[in-house]
Amino acid sequence: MRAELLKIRSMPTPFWVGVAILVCFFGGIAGAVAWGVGEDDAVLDIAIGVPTMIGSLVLGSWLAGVEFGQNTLRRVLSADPRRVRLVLVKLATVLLVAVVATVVLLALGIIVYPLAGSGHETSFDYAMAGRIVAACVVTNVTYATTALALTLLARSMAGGMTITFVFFFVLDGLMSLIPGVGDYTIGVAQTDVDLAIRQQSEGIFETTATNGTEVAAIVLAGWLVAFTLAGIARTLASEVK
Amino acid sequence: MTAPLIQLDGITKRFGRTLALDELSLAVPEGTVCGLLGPNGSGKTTAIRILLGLTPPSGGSAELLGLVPGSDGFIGAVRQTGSLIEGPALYGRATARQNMEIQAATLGLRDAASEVRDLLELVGLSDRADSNARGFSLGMKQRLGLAIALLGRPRLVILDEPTNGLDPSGIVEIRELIKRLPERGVTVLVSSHLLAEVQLMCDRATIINKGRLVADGTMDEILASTGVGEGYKVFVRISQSEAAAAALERAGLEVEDRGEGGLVARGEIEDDSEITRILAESGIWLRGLMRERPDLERVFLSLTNGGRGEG
Repeated sequence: MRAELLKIRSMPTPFWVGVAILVCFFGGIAGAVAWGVGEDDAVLDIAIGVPTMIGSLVLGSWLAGVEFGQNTLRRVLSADPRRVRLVLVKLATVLLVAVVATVVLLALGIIVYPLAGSGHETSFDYAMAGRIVAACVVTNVTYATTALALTLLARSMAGGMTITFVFFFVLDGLMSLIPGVGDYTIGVAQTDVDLAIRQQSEGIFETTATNGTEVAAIVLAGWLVAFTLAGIARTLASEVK
Repeated sequence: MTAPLIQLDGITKRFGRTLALDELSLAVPEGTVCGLLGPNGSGKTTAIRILLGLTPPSGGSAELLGLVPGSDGFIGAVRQTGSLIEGPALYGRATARQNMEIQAATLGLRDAASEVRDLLELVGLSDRADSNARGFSLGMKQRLGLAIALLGRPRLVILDEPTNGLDPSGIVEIRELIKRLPERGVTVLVSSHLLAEVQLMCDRATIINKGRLVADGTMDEILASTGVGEGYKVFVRISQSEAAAAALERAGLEVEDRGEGGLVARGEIEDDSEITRILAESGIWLRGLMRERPDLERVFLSLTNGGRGEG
């Protein structure tokens, strides 16, 4: 994992993703000063939740794809040929970084945003904030894992990132329209779990829960395991140039 | 005698209908610099990828430091083997030092800072250690690739076309580096199609063509393998070249006419004065005379049918 963390530390893409997330975080402070923390602590979702979700997707795709651009995969495997281990270490690294960054930023947000928004009437709901932390962690784990696995399948960073965006924001939505089967897409499952964690009956865009929490959690885990196994299988079967 | 560090035994590799390696056998003894020669597309890189476990063979067996790729403990063999395959694979947006630190971490090396520093010094990149690798010239990238291959003090280093694309001074630098590796206890397998380079840096060579072994042995054995012995390059007036060839042939020598008054004479010749005497007795005066030693290029072309056809 040290090698993967060094890659994240050494190269510009993760650095600029981090910068963008921090800009959003500080933008949240400015927003809280100007308009307050919002209903249901909305500032946490807008200034940290969404940026870290996109950051998790980009990081997952980047850490898998970084080996394809310059044929460093053969260098990595020439030093350690255990391909399954390589995928799992990359996954663990992405999840560690995504979860730690999400939790730390949200913890800071929970301290800073109420102070910044204290001049406004809307009060900060600390219980809700705790649930937002948990919901964001689940969301970011979902996006990071999917992005990493789809990039392994595509064997290209740009291809993987594009496929991940298209999958989440187009294909998954289309699949959810299919009668019956559409209730078990990763997007539906993730929304169900998210609403359950937040203890809300309705999410943004007035979405409501489709399945029970247990079913949704199993479906979500199933998708993530299936994606990861597909990524491992592709990595095992591929000739390394 | 110690077991060879590399052993390929009847290795075959197919890519669809293409037969990349055809029952190739090869052994690299410890402490040597061994050349793997062949025209482009002859199967050199495929053989190396099989050795490192990057691609499985279709048949035959491969052993790296006594272990079969994919077997229990093979990871240990790989960790003692540095490699540079088809040019350096570098993280272009990381610095030279960071590239080495990443590799050190991949190899599980702890406290590699001093080794990284020493290797950057060895390959002459100390002053560019903190520059991004993507800004490096090809020669600098090759040298960084070599430094990365030497991390972790490997017993064996496999270098695939390490001088590819380098300018003459870069070629000399890399060659001198490679020649010094056995002093550090490193055995080297170097694949190349630059024959003069291999002749200058290797103790042994294996020549393959179309995935098949065509010659294998020490450099002297390879050079003697086609029967192309030492000879003399003889230069006379163009108008006298036919007469000179006839005179040398009458003296029992084998003569090759290279045109423009140039001949090569081979056979039982004690020294160059004998050539001078034979031609003088026929009234032919030499314009030049020099010894011609067999070189790997001529042997290679002879064994591989001009570097294209069947060997």
